[in-house]
Amino acid sequence: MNAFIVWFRRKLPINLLLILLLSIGVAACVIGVQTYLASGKQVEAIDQIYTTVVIPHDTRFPGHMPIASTEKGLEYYDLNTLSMEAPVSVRSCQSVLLQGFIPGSSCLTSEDFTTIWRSYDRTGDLPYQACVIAARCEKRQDRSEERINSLFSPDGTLIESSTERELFYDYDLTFLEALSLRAPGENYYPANKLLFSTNLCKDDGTPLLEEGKTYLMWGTCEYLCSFFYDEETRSVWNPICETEEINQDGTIYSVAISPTPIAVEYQGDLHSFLETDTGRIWKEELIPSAERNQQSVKVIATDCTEGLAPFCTRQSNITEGRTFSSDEAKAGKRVCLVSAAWAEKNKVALGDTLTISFFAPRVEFFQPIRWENGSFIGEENDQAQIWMQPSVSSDATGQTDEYEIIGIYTCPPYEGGSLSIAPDTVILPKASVENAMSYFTNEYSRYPLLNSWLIPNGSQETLKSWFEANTLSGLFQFYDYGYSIASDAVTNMENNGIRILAVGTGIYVLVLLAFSSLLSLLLSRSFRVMRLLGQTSNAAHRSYSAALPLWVIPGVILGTLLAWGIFDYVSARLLSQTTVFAWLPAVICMIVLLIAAYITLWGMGRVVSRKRLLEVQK
Amino acid sequence: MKGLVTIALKNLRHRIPIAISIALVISLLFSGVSWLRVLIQAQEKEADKMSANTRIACLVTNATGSRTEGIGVISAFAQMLQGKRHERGCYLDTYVRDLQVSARERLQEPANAVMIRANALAAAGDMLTVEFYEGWDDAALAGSERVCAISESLLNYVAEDGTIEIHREVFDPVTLQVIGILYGQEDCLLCPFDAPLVDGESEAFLLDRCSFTLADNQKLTDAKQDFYIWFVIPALSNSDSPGTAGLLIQDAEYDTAMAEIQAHLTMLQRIRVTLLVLSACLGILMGFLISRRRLREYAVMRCLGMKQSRVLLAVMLEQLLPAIPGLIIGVFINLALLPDGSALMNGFLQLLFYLGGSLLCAAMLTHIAPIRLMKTEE
Repeated sequence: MNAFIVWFRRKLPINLLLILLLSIGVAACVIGVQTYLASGKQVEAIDQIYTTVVIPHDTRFPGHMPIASTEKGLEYYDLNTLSMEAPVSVRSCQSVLLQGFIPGSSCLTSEDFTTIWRSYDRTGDLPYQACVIAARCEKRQDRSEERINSLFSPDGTLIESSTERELFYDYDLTFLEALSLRAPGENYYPANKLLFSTNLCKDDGTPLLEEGKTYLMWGTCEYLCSFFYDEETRSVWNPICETEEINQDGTIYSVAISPTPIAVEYQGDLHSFLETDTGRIWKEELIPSAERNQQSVKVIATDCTEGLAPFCTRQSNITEGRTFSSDEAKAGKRVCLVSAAWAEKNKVALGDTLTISFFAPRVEFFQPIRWENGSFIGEENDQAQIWMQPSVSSDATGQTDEYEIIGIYTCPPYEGGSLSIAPDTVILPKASVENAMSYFTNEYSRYPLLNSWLIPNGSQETLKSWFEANTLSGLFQFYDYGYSIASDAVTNMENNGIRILAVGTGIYVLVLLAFSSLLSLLLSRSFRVMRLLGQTSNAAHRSYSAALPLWVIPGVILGTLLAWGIFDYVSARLLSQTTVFAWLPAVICMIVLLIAAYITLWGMGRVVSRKRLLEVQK
Repeated sequence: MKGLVTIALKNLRHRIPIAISIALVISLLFSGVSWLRVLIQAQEKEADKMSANTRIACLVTNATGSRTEGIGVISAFAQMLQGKRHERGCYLDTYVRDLQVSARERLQEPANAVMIRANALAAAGDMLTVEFYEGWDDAALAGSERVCAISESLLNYVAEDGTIEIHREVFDPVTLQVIGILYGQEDCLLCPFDAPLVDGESEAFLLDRCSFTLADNQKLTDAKQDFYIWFVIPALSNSDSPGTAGLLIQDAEYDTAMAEIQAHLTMLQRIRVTLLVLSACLGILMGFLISRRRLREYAVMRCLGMKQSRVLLAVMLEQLLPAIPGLIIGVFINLALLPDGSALMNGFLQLLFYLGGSLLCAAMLTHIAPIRLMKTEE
């Protein structure tokens, strides 16, 4: 029979107290570990809700996110290289501007084909779109304007300046028929006058339109003067009137077609013309393209919404639902966010599904043009006017998908540029659009790429200093959603976790030392007796080692249970229901403490068992 | 009593290591509590600092949240935020700081001119600037005088006495004193939001923009509760009408961060509770150590006619006497860490739990009958 086990049984009360002593040390250490882990989780939770965003911008083009060339020769697409050299870890958040065709939808902004330059009609209910209109040219007035061409050196010094005269043609047309125009509100009066001003002419130098002839025109129209008719009061109200085209009976208003329309002359009946070879191009391509355009939205395909400037500046906020997570963004999940204004207009809500066909914005509507005698001239013959194909079919990505609306956001008034979001913008994960990034390499898609960097919270100053050292300061804007205000509290939390872990471990070490001293004091007589009875010191130590688990295992288990019981079970009921006790780390900690206690006590036993008998006796 | 103290002192002379241990444990408990209190106070201070420095922006929208400009809700909502509706039990102004509110209206005369009412220049629009005439500044916009700043294009309408007459739909014409030139928008007239433009009656109009920040973030929960009595959370399901205003409180980050900080503080408080229980355990342990191998001694005391309570007192005295220097050291450390003495009470509570544990141990040892005590094998 092991003499130490017998001693343990005989002196049960003091051994139980020894176990209690060890358990107090274990409890302190386990609580230290738990606090450290819980603090870490709390810090992480805070860290996750804040995002520090760095947005490059070009001071020459305020509102546009990509940076231009700098002294370092950085180009738009060099941001990735730059991010690799940065002294902090940088997660690139890229967004691509596309257009999405949603059949049956109604857009709020003018669907200008150069997506980035859309304007937003504040009343949100005026037809203001791509259109195909038949009109008769009534009058043409020519005027010339002075144009100053200046050439500047990189430091802004004027090198050369020349003045050219530019010829403009102002056309006055009678509105005949709209073949495609966004359905006006019920109480709209139809327009009956069309204004068109351009510097385009045919290659022989003659004006595009001739007085008295009829034309079919494709372009973006803008109402300059409009009237609503109030059926109840039978009165007319004009909310917008920028010209003096107000008729006495209040039923006239003007439409200005944007300066780059496609036009073709036709004679006789319009519908017969549409059956001719030239007319079929209009019927089959241009009219559908305008209609498609009216039912399109601006799409921002992005890696993360937090990196988008309007969200950083808090101009846009999610009012219902949520944004997509980084996992959803990575997986390319078919989910999207729409603005409250667009959702209201199109009567969609959270959980609804949108069928979106993507196409890329395109700025190249014309065949290449050249400058001659103060006027732009098409390189080809006058037929170039109808070769100007809209971008819809040729640039389509070919992808049509169903997207679930998971979030609704508020949208500030559209200010133009990439930093502002038009109210009919659909935001969705970039990975969900195949080949979205291929538009990045397209020369014309340079502007539509929105870049931002996500950096670790709190590393703002490091990056700022680095930018400064590399003459890049001023080209980047920093946003942190208020993290800098919370950072001191977060650091303090982190430190608390470390401090309590250190103190807990310290208490355990002290207790273990006290425990081993006490045990050696209590067992020294047993060791002596065993050796006097003829056992070797090794044999005595072996017996002791075999009996050690009697103290260590219950001590460590009791300590862990004590920590759980008081720190989690009891105190949670007294103070808060938030449970922070993590069992897996507690068990791992328990095993480590057990091993540490066993090794210490084993070593102590070794020392005591080898003491000289006479010394022990003394 | 004196005799008991003497006996206790004599006994302690033979148990100096344990006496020192008791003093050490007491002083450690005292300093541990104050250290924990220091951690809690520092965290609370950081939380307060964060609360004071965070600006929670609040944005008034229409009911559906589709408009943040041209919101089209009635001016009564602005009055609520300005504290002009106390008689109706609305005290929202106590939560409001830096209110910026504006309204737009197209005038009949000067034709096509737009009148902006704003309580600050920033509220009128980002692009607008005003060059005030001498004696005037932008504080005039916060007042309620019939004054205005006008675009250069409207200077033709200004009378010789420096006033401008405006004609509005439905209402009678009103004359305003011109106090400056407005730049950034043509055909525009900017006047104080609170300027009375109708004689003798209050006027309701539609708001263009309205935003503010929370005055006291620590009252966020109360503020939200009170705000949403009068406002709605913007949602597409709400019916959009001028009588319903949405309010967007941008508190997501602050709220989550504060919740985590509170959870951290609660966790630190939990350690305090844990320390109390561990103190009691230490009390039991030290109590047992000091009375180890002395059961027969206690039995003899009982046999000699000493009452159980006196034996208990004697045992307790042996623990209390070494506790006194520990207590003194502990109080000193406590006061060194927290000079305001805010952790002293916690220290004494800790001591109480420790002594409770010791008492429990002493009671257990001295409770049994003397004959059984005599038979007890040490």
